[in-house]
Amino acid sequence: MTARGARVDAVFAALSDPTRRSVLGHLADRESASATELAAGLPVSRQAVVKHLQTLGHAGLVTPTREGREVRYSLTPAPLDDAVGWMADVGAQWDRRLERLRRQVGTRKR
Amino acid sequence: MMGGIDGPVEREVELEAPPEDVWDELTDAERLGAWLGAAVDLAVEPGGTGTVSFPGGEMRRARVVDVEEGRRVSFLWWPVAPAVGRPTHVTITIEPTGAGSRVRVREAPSARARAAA
Repeated sequence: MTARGARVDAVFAALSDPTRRSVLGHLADRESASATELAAGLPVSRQAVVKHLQTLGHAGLVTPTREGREVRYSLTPAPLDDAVGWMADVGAQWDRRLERLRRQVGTRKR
Repeated sequence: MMGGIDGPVEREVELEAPPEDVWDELTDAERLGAWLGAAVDLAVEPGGTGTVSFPGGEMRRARVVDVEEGRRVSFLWWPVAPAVGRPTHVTITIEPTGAGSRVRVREAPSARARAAA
Protein backbone atom coordinates (compact mmCIF):
# COMPACT_ATOMS: atom_id res chain seq x y z
CA MET A 1 0.00 0.00 0.00
CA THR A 2 2.78 2.39 0.90
CA ALA A 3 4.79 1.46 -2.18
CA ARG A 4 1.67 1.87 -4.28
CA GLY A 5 0.96 5.20 -2.60
CA ALA A 6 4.44 6.46 -3.40
CA ARG A 7 4.10 5.35 -7.02
CA VAL A 8 0.72 7.03 -7.31
CA ASP A 9 2.13 10.27 -5.86
CA ALA A 10 4.97 10.19 -8.36
CA VAL A 11 2.54 9.63 -11.24
CA PHE A 12 0.32 12.57 -10.25
CA ALA A 13 3.34 14.82 -9.72
CA ALA A 14 4.68 13.78 -13.13
CA LEU A 15 1.33 14.48 -14.81
CA SER A 16 0.95 17.89 -13.15
CA ASP A 17 3.27 19.55 -15.65
CA PRO A 18 1.97 20.42 -19.16
CA THR A 19 5.35 19.84 -20.84
CA ARG A 20 5.59 16.37 -19.31
CA ARG A 21 2.09 15.62 -20.52
CA SER A 22 3.21 16.69 -24.02
CA VAL A 23 6.25 14.43 -23.77
CA LEU A 24 3.98 11.51 -22.87
CA GLY A 25 1.69 12.41 -25.77
CA HIS A 26 4.63 12.38 -28.19
CA LEU A 27 5.85 9.06 -26.83
CA ALA A 28 2.37 7.55 -27.14
CA ASP A 29 2.56 8.18 -30.90
CA ARG A 30 5.75 6.22 -31.50
CA GLU A 31 7.71 3.28 -30.22
CA SER A 32 10.54 5.35 -28.78
CA ALA A 33 12.24 8.72 -29.10
CA SER A 34 15.46 10.40 -28.04
CA ALA A 35 15.49 13.59 -25.98
CA THR A 36 16.71 15.44 -29.08
CA GLU A 37 13.79 14.19 -31.17
CA LEU A 38 11.33 15.10 -28.42
CA ALA A 39 12.81 18.59 -27.99
CA ALA A 40 12.37 19.23 -31.73
CA GLY A 41 8.60 18.96 -31.29
CA LEU A 42 8.38 20.97 -28.07
CA PRO A 43 8.94 24.63 -27.18
CA VAL A 44 11.63 23.76 -24.61
CA SER A 45 15.35 22.96 -24.68
CA ARG A 46 16.76 19.47 -24.96
CA GLN A 47 18.19 19.92 -21.47
CA ALA A 48 14.71 20.66 -20.12
CA VAL A 49 13.31 17.60 -21.91
CA VAL A 50 15.99 15.42 -20.30
CA LYS A 51 14.98 16.70 -16.88
CA HIS A 52 11.30 16.02 -17.58
CA LEU A 53 12.19 12.53 -18.82
CA GLN A 54 13.95 11.88 -15.51
CA THR A 55 10.82 12.84 -13.59
CA LEU A 56 8.70 10.65 -15.85
CA GLY A 57 11.22 7.85 -15.40
CA HIS A 58 11.05 8.20 -11.61
CA ALA A 59 7.27 7.72 -11.89
CA GLY A 60 7.85 4.65 -14.06
CA LEU A 61 6.02 6.23 -16.99
CA VAL A 62 8.97 6.13 -19.39
CA THR A 63 11.82 3.66 -19.68
CA PRO A 64 15.22 4.62 -21.10
CA THR A 65 17.09 2.23 -23.36
CA ARG A 66 20.65 2.84 -24.51
CA GLU A 67 21.13 2.30 -28.23
CA GLY A 68 24.72 2.92 -29.19
CA ARG A 69 25.55 6.50 -28.21
CA GLU A 70 21.93 7.45 -27.85
CA VAL A 71 19.38 6.97 -25.06
CA ARG A 72 15.90 6.30 -26.37
CA TYR A 73 12.78 6.59 -24.24
CA SER A 74 9.56 4.62 -24.54
CA LEU A 75 6.23 4.95 -22.80
CA THR A 76 5.50 2.42 -20.02
CA PRO A 77 1.90 3.16 -19.06
CA ALA A 78 1.44 0.55 -16.27
CA PRO A 79 1.81 3.09 -13.42
CA LEU A 80 -1.21 4.92 -14.83
CA ASP A 81 -3.27 1.87 -13.86
CA ASP A 82 -2.12 2.30 -10.26
CA ALA A 83 -3.18 5.94 -10.34
CA VAL A 84 -6.56 5.08 -11.88
CA GLY A 85 -7.03 2.30 -9.30
CA TRP A 86 -6.24 4.70 -6.48
CA MET A 87 -8.75 7.22 -7.83
CA ALA A 88 -11.43 4.51 -8.10
CA ASP A 89 -10.82 3.26 -4.54
CA VAL A 90 -10.73 6.69 -2.93
CA GLY A 91 -13.69 7.86 -5.01
CA ALA A 92 -15.77 4.84 -3.92
CA GLN A 93 -14.91 5.58 -0.27
CA TRP A 94 -16.14 9.17 -0.63
CA ASP A 95 -19.30 7.99 -2.43
CA ARG A 96 -20.13 5.85 0.62
CA ARG A 97 -19.27 8.62 3.08
CA LEU A 98 -21.28 11.28 1.25
CA GLU A 99 -24.27 8.93 1.08
CA ARG A 100 -24.01 8.54 4.88
CA LEU A 101 -23.77 12.33 5.21
CA ARG A 102 -26.92 12.72 3.11
CA ARG A 103 -28.84 10.29 5.34
CA GLN A 104 -27.42 11.86 8.50
CA VAL A 105 -28.49 15.37 7.48
CA GLY A 106 -31.93 14.07 6.45
CA THR A 107 -32.39 12.40 9.85
CA ARG A 108 -31.39 15.51 11.77
CA LYS A 109 -33.84 17.70 9.90
CA ARG A 110 -36.88 15.65 10.97
CA MET B 1 8.77 21.45 -7.73
CA MET B 2 5.27 21.24 -9.10
CA GLY B 3 2.34 20.52 -6.80
CA GLY B 4 0.03 17.58 -7.35
CA ILE B 5 -2.88 17.81 -9.71
CA ASP B 6 -5.69 19.67 -8.02
CA GLY B 7 -8.02 16.97 -6.77
CA PRO B 8 -7.77 13.85 -8.95
CA VAL B 9 -10.65 12.52 -6.87
CA GLU B 10 -13.69 14.74 -6.72
CA ARG B 11 -17.13 13.75 -5.44
CA GLU B 12 -20.20 15.73 -4.46
CA VAL B 13 -23.60 15.29 -2.90
CA GLU B 14 -26.73 17.46 -2.95
CA LEU B 15 -28.37 18.02 0.44
CA GLU B 16 -31.73 19.47 1.30
CA ALA B 17 -30.37 21.30 4.35
CA PRO B 18 -28.91 24.81 4.12
CA PRO B 19 -25.12 25.27 4.49
CA GLU B 20 -25.37 26.54 8.08
CA ASP B 21 -27.04 23.26 9.10
CA VAL B 22 -24.46 21.17 7.27
CA TRP B 23 -21.46 23.00 8.73
CA ASP B 24 -21.70 21.14 12.07
CA GLU B 25 -21.42 17.84 10.23
CA LEU B 26 -17.92 18.89 9.18
CA THR B 27 -16.67 20.56 12.33
CA ASP B 28 -18.16 18.50 15.17
CA ALA B 29 -15.78 15.55 15.56
CA GLU B 30 -18.55 13.15 16.53
CA ARG B 31 -20.82 14.10 13.62
CA LEU B 32 -17.88 14.11 11.21
CA GLY B 33 -16.89 10.65 12.40
CA ALA B 34 -20.42 9.34 11.97
CA TRP B 35 -20.46 9.94 8.23
CA LEU B 36 -16.75 9.31 7.66
CA GLY B 37 -17.36 5.92 9.25
CA ALA B 38 -14.57 6.38 11.78
CA ALA B 39 -13.84 7.58 15.29
CA VAL B 40 -12.59 11.13 14.83
CA ASP B 41 -10.46 12.75 17.51
CA LEU B 42 -9.61 16.05 15.87
CA ALA B 43 -10.13 19.72 16.64
CA VAL B 44 -11.43 21.11 13.35
CA GLU B 45 -9.60 24.42 13.49
CA PRO B 46 -6.52 25.65 11.60
CA GLY B 47 -3.49 23.69 12.78
CA GLY B 48 -5.65 21.19 14.70
CA THR B 49 -4.18 17.71 14.79
CA GLY B 50 -5.64 14.37 15.74
CA THR B 51 -6.54 10.90 14.63
CA VAL B 52 -9.16 9.18 12.50
CA SER B 53 -9.63 5.53 13.46
CA PHE B 54 -11.49 3.25 11.09
CA PRO B 55 -13.10 -0.01 12.14
CA GLY B 56 -10.76 -2.89 11.40
CA GLY B 57 -7.70 -1.16 12.81
CA GLU B 58 -6.77 1.36 10.12
CA MET B 59 -5.72 4.63 11.72
CA ARG B 60 -4.76 7.91 10.11
CA ARG B 61 -3.26 11.01 11.60
CA ALA B 62 -4.76 14.28 10.43
CA ARG B 63 -3.79 17.93 10.45
CA VAL B 64 -6.25 20.69 9.64
CA VAL B 65 -4.75 23.04 7.07
CA ASP B 66 -7.47 25.59 6.60
CA VAL B 67 -10.97 26.44 7.79
CA GLU B 68 -13.21 28.99 6.13
CA GLU B 69 -16.13 29.38 8.50
CA GLY B 70 -19.33 27.95 7.07
CA ARG B 71 -17.75 27.15 3.72
CA ARG B 72 -14.60 25.06 3.62
CA VAL B 73 -12.44 22.69 5.62
CA SER B 74 -9.20 21.25 4.35
CA PHE B 75 -6.92 18.79 6.05
CA LEU B 76 -4.02 16.45 5.43
CA TRP B 77 -4.29 12.87 6.55
CA TRP B 78 -1.96 9.94 6.29
CA PRO B 79 -2.12 6.31 7.41
CA VAL B 80 -0.11 5.41 10.51
CA ALA B 81 -1.55 1.93 11.13
CA PRO B 82 -1.33 -0.84 10.07
CA ALA B 83 1.39 0.83 7.95
CA VAL B 84 2.58 4.38 7.53
CA GLY B 85 1.51 5.86 4.20
CA ARG B 86 1.77 9.04 2.21
CA PRO B 87 -0.34 12.07 3.11
CA THR B 88 -3.19 13.23 0.93
CA HIS B 89 -4.92 16.58 0.99
CA VAL B 90 -8.70 16.58 1.48
CA THR B 91 -10.81 19.68 0.83
CA ILE B 92 -14.50 19.71 1.70
CA THR B 93 -16.59 22.66 0.57
CA ILE B 94 -20.22 23.55 1.16
CA GLU B 95 -22.06 25.81 -1.24
CA PRO B 96 -25.67 26.94 -1.19
CA THR B 97 -28.09 25.66 -3.84
CA GLY B 98 -31.74 26.49 -4.47
CA ALA B 99 -32.89 23.43 -2.54
CA GLY B 100 -30.24 23.43 0.21
CA SER B 101 -26.55 22.84 -0.27
CA ARG B 102 -23.95 20.96 -2.20
CA VAL B 103 -21.00 19.32 -0.45
CA ARG B 104 -17.96 18.70 -2.61
CA VAL B 105 -14.92 16.65 -1.63
CA ARG B 106 -11.54 16.64 -3.31
CA GLU B 107 -8.70 14.34 -2.33
CA ALA B 108 -5.25 14.50 -3.87
CA PRO B 109 -1.73 13.39 -3.11
CA SER B 110 0.12 16.52 -2.09
CA ALA B 111 3.74 17.38 -2.80
CA ARG B 112 3.47 20.14 -0.22
CA ALA B 113 2.11 17.60 2.23
CA ARG B 114 5.13 15.37 1.71
CA ALA B 115 7.46 18.25 2.40
CA ALA B 116 5.57 19.17 5.58
CA ALA B 117 4.90 15.72 7.00
